[in-house]
Amino acid sequence: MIGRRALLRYASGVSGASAATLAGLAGCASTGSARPRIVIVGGGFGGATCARTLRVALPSARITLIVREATYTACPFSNLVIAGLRELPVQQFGYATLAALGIEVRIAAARDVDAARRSVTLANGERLTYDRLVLSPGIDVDYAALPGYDRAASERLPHAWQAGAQTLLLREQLRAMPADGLVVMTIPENPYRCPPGPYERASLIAHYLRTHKPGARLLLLDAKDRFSKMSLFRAAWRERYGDRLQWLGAADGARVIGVDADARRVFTDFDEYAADVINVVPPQKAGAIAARAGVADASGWCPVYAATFAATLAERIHVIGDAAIANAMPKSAFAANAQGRLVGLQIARLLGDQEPLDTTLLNTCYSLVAPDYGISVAGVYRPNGERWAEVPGAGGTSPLDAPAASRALEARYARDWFTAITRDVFG
Amino acid sequence: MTEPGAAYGLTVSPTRTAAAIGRGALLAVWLLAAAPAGASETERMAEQPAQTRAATDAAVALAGGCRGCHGAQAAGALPALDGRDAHELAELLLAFKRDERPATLMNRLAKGYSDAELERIAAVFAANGAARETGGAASSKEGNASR
Repeated sequence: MIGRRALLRYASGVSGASAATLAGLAGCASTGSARPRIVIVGGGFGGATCARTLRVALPSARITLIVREATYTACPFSNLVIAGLRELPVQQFGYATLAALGIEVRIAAARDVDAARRSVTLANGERLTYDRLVLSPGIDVDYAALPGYDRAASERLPHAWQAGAQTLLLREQLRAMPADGLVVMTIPENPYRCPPGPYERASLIAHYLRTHKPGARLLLLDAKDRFSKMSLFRAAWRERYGDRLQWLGAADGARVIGVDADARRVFTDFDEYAADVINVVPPQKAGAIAARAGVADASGWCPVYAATFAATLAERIHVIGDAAIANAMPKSAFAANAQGRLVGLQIARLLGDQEPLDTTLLNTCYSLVAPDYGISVAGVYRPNGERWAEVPGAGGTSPLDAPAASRALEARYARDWFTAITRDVFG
Repeated sequence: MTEPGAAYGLTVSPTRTAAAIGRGALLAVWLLAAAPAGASETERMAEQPAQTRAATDAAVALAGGCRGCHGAQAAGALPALDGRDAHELAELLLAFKRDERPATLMNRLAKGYSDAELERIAAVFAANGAARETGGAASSKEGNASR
């Protein structure tokens, strides 16, 4: 009974309309399988949303969600944890609701995919076959990309770009540093998870330093010359943090070419920096299972057909979230959630021999420059041929000249957004 | 602005879509929520024309974009939209689009949609509320209370 009620509740989000679609298809034999089997790898914003959408849109399906851990730790807002403004458990979510809906949640590592045989192999050797596979594996840190930065180095120079133990490690290092110390953040080339994330983090670390380490400074070494919401961030930094926060870009020679974890040093083309705390926002690639499945290209990310997020490199596999190349759409939790919802509907239609939908997706990324100071960037996207392109004249950033009340309002909306989206995905 | 679906040859007339969607979504949601036990949804929906289904799914997908902030329940200052009057909601979205109503974000988002799309989105949310009033009301109230 609980399951049925929970299903109805979520159905109001996906609407019964797609259940109707499905109902239409369930009567015909076109799927070749009375009970289609969908396997989803990854239980974050993309995978969990896709599973819930499919539960409603494709009621006849057997849906298996493979998650790495019983508890998911969300990245959005984890910068507040680093700055001591939030505790980690608030970032953590389980899969009880999804299980109650009838989604088979497996806590396991997906080790391999055989696209030809349509099977996923788990770490224990078990093989799961599928009619459709959805990969939503998020990112892996590319430990081969930055000389000196391997997994062992990340225990000393945390990346904290996958939330959890790394988040707490960085927080502890900030707490332990001297009150007049130096923090260095290194920031990579695009693309990476959460384009404005490094700059929100820098803001909140600067806020922490101002509050708790009055003589300390933060230096950003960026491989780029431009970044998301750049004008807004830089104006806010000048206003709130002054000389405490310094940003250097590629034109300043700030591209980081290596690190020395033992010596706590960072190397650029021309300089060398020793710091008390070094946060390496690392080079990244799609989660490893994408490469095992053969759906990642030489860039390390996964090309997809725009409307369906079907992998271009293998059949019957869809890739969503950070791992996918979604062109103008950023790698964000919001985008992953939107893509998960769309791909759930698309799979229901495809298995019913119906044309996929050609639709519009949204993204909104809030960033907190300070606890009471929020800014946002938004975009509306449509497939243009095989690329997701921004709809001209829509989206964009918060106004540069917005009043303080507007910044405070956006800070509030940012927090409410986290509540809304995590309820939508896990609640 | 291109109608969603046009690229795939879906033949729902753009001018008639907004009205059709309202009916299609309402019908589908009502069936899901209120169908008597025993008869399968499959049987009930088998007669729904493929075009109507496609138009309905397209509208649901379009409205899905809003769900990243506007879920089944209000989250702080972010309101739930299910069950809102379709006309009132459409007028609100159009006012955001035309900068006739103050906003931090909605004005930027609404500009990405045609007027007809905004009306369709409003119709989907209105229809979801109708589903609650028939079959899903108990569960949604319970959901609100438990949070």
